[in-house]
Amino acid sequence: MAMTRKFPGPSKLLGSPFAWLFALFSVAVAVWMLLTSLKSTRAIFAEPWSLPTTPQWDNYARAWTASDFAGATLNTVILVFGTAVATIALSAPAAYALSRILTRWNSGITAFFALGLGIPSQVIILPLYVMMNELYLVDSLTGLWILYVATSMPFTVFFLTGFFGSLPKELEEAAALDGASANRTFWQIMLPLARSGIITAMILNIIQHWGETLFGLVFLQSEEKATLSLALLGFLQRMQYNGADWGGLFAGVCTVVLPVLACYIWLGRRIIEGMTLGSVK
Amino acid sequence: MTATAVRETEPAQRQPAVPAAQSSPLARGRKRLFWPFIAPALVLYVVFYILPTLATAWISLNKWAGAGPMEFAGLDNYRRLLLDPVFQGSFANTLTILFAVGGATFALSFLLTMILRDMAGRKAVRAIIFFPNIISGIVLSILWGFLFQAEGVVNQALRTFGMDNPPNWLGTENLFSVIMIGLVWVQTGFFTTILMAAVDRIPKDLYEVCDLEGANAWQRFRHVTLPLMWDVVGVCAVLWSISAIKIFEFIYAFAGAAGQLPPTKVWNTALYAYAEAFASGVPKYGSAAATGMVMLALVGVLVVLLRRMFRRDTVQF
Amino acid sequence: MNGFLPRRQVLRTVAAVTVAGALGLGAAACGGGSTGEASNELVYWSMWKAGEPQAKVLESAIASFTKETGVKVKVEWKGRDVSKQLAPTLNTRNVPADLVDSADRFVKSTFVATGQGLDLSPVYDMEIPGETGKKVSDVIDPKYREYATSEGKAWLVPYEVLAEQIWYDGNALKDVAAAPPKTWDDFVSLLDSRKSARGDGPLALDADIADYSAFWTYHAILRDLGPGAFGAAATDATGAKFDDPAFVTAVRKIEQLVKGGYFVKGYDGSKFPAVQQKWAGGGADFLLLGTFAPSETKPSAKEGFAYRSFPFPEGAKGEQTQEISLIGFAIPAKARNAEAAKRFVAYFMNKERLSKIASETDNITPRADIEVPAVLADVKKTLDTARTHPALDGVKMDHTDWYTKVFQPVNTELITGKVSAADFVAKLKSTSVDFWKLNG
Repeated sequence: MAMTRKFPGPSKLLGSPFAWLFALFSVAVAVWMLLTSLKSTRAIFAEPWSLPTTPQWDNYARAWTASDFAGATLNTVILVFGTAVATIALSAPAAYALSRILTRWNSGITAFFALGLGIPSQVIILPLYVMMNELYLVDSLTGLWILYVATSMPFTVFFLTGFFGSLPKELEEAAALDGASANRTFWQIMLPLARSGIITAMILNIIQHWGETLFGLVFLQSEEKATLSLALLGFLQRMQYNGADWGGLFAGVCTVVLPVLACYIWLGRRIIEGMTLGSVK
Repeated sequence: MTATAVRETEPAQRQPAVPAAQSSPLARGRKRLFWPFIAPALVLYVVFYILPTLATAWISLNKWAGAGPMEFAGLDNYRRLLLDPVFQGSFANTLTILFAVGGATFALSFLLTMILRDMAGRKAVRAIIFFPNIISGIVLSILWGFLFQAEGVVNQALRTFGMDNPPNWLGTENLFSVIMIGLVWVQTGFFTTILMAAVDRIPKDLYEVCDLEGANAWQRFRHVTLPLMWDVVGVCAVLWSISAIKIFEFIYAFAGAAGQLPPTKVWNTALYAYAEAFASGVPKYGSAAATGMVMLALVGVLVVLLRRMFRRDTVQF
Repeated sequence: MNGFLPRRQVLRTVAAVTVAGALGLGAAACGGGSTGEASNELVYWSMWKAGEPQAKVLESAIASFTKETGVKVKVEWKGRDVSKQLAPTLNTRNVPADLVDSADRFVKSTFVATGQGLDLSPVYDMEIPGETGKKVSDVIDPKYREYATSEGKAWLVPYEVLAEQIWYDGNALKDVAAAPPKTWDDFVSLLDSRKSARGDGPLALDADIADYSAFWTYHAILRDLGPGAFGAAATDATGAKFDDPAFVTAVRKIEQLVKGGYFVKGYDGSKFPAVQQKWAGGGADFLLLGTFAPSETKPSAKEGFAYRSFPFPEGAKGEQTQEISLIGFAIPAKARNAEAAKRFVAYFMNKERLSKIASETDNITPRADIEVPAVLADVKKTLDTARTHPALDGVKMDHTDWYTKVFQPVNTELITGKVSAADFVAKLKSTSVDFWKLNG
C-alpha cells in the first residue's frame, strides 16, 4: 500500500475521479428521488430538475394512508427472516454432509442441487400453482414461506458446500479424538467455524426475497397478507390511475426505500464484508 | 516474471476439496449422518422445484389455456417458438443482455476494482455503488425511465451543457440500449464488491515485486491480479449468467402503468414467457412452458461452458 | 350440473378439513364452509384498489347489501391484474372468487375463451332490488348487453362505459368548443392553425403506451373503411384485405400527422404519463384518450381547465361512429356462491347505487336514466347519436396475440415516423400472413 502510494500513475489520476463520479451518480439519483417526493405533481413535470419550492409533506401523508405499508412491512420482515433461518437450518447440514462426508452419492447430489441454480422461477410457477392449490397453500404466508425456502435450496446448498469444503479439517479431527460424536462436531464446531459463510448466505437470501414480486403476486391473494413489494406495486398502480399522483408515488417509494437505506448505512459494511468474505472463500 | 512470483508464494500444504476416504469409527459415525443431514433439503427441493420443472417440461408438449383441458401437441410449441419473429427477437435480446451487459459490467467492475484498490474513500464508494442492488427492480426501472425521458433530468442536464438536440433515449431505436445501461449501472456495484474482496486477498508484496520490476498497470492486472482471482471471476460469471437470463422486472416496469407490456423490441425470453402466459389474451401456457425450457437449456449450456472455461487449476496463495 | 354440486361440496369440505388438519393450518386453508344455493356469503375480487373512487362506491353498496340481505361479502381489492391472478385457479376445485369485475377484454379472454364463465343471462332477468317491476335488462341499454354476449351467453354485466374521444380545454379553445371539427380536413386545418400558433405540434400522445398509439391508426382506418374492417383485416390469413387501396389511404392520414410534425415534441421519447400531464398543463391542445382522461389528468391540469371533447373526425365513410369498452361483473363457472354473487350484481344495478359511479367516479354508466358527469357531456352526446362498436374493433379483445406481436411493433414504427404508410401496410400484411401461417 505504502509502496504504491509513492508512484501514482496516470491511470490513478484519472481513475479516482472516475470512481467518484460513478458513485456520485447513484447518490444524485437518490437525492433527486428524495427531492421529487416533496414536490407537487405539476412541479415534477414542469421542472424535474429544480428544488421543491415549498416541501409537500402532504405527499407522505397521502402515500401512507393510501397504502398498507405498515402491515406489509411486518409480513415481509417475518416472511423474509423466517425464510433465511429455515433455509440455513436445512441447507447447512446438507452442505456439510455433501462436502465432508464421503459417500458415492456426493458428486451426484451436489450436481443435482447445482442443476436447480439454472431453473428460472418463471419456469416452474404454473405447475407449482396447481400443486399449492391442491394443498390449500395458496394465499397463505406459510405456503409462500415453504416456496421461498424450497427455491433457496439450490443456491444456498451450492454456496455452503463450497464454503464448508474450504474449512480446515484439523479441528474436526481433534474433536473426534476427544470423543465428540459426529453430530455434535457439526453443531458445536463446524457450524460456528462456518459463521461468516452462513451470514453471507443469509444476507444474500434476505436481499433476494426482500423485493421478490413474482411468487408473491401469484401465490398471495388477500391484501392483509401482501408483502412489501406487492403493496408497493399496488400502490404504484393506484397512484398512476387516480389522477396520477406522482408526488405521492415518489413519497411512497421513499417510504419503502428509506428504512432500507437506514439499515444499509447502519449495517452496510457488515453486509458487504460478510457477503464478500463468504463468496470469495 | 510475475508468474514465478505467484508460484513462489504458494503455501506448501494444499487441501483437497474433499477429505480422503477413511474407515475410522469417526468416518462410520459420520456416514450415518449423511442421509439425515441431506434428506430435508433434498425432499423440499425435489417436491417444490424438480417436480414442477418436470411438469413444465410436460406442459411444454401440450396446448393448454390453464382453465380447460390440456391437448397434446408434441413439439409444436417449440416449432412455433423457432418460427415466431418476436421470440427470435426476445432470444437475441437475452443473448445481448448476457454478453453485452455482462461484458460491460465485468469490464467496468474490473476497472473500478483496480481503481478502488488503493484509493482513499474506497469503502464509501463501494457502499454507494452497491446500494442499487437492495432496491426493488420496479422502483429502479421507473426511476430510470424518468431520468431519460424527452424532457427528463438527463436531457435537461445535457441542454445546460450546450447539447441542443440530445438523443431521444426512450425512442424505439434507443430504448433497449437505455435499459442495458441501467442494468450495467445496477450490476456493476454487485460484481465490483465481490471482485474487490477477491483482490483484497492478494498479498501486497506481490504488487511490490511488480513495482520493483517496473510493471505497468496493465501488466500488473494481467499477470498478478487476474490469475489470482480467476476462481472468483468464474463464480461471478456463473452468477451473472443465471441472473441475466431471469431479468424481468426492470424491463417489464418500463412500460409504466396500465398493465401494458413494453414494446416487443425490448422483450427478453423471460418477458416473452410472461406474455404468452398472462398477456396474450387466451393464456398459452404450453408456449410459455416451452419458452421456460429454452431458458433452462440456455442456462445449462452456459454453466457447462463456463465451468469448463474456469476449471483450470486455481492458483492458491 | 346443479345436481352435482352438493356432493362435490361435501367432498371438497372433507378434503379441505383433512388436508388442513394434516398440515395444521386450520382456518388459513379454506375460506369457510360453503352452503351452496342458500349461501349467505361471497368472495368478491375487484379490479380496483382500496381507496380508489370506484372502490369507495362499491364498498358502500356492499355495506348496505349485507345489511339488507344478511349476505356477507369478503372483498379483495386486487387491482388491474385481477383476471391474471384468477386465471390459473379457474380450472381447479378451489376457485377463490365468486364475483369479479374487470375490463371487458380480460373477462373475455379468461372466461369466455376457456368456457370458465357463468352465463349471466339470468342476472339480466332478475328484478332490481328497490325498483319494483324493473329487471336488469330493462335498464341496461340493449347495445351494451349485446356487446357483452357471445354465442347466446351473456358474459358481463357492465357498470361502467368507456369511450375514446379527442379531449381539449374548452376555455382555451373557445372556437373549437363552439364548432368542433367534423371531417378530417376540418381537423387538419384546425391542427395547422394551432401548430403555427404554438410553434409545436398540438397533438398529445404518450407513444410508449402501445394502445394509445394504436388509437390513432385504427380510428383512421375505421372512419374510412367502417366498423369491422380492421378486425376483418386482422384475421385475414391471406392478408388480401390489406391490399384494399382505401386501407393505405387511411394510414396516410396518420403518416401525414407524423411527418407534418403535428404531434407535440417528445411524444415518442417520454414515459407515460408525461405527455398527457403536459397536455393538461397547457403544453398541447388535443389528446385522444378514453373517458378516464379527466380523472387521470385533473391534478396536473392548469387553472380553469374545462374538459371538452369531440369524436374522432369522420372519414371516407362519412359516418360518425363511437368506440366503446365496458367494465363490469363476471362470475366464474365454478364459483361456490354464484347465487349470492348474482344477487349482488342485480343489487348494484339499482339506479341510486349505480348513479354514484357517475357522480363520484366521473364515469358513464350503462343506464340511460342516470345523469352523466359534466366533464363527459360531450361524449354522452356522441353515444346517444352515433353507432357504437368495440374499442380497437375488438381486435385487442379477441386476437390479443396478433395485436401485440404483429400490429403493435409496426404501428409504433408508423407513429414514431420510422416507416411510411405504404411500408406500414406492406409490413403489416407480410407479418400478418406469417403470423396466421404459424397460429392459424
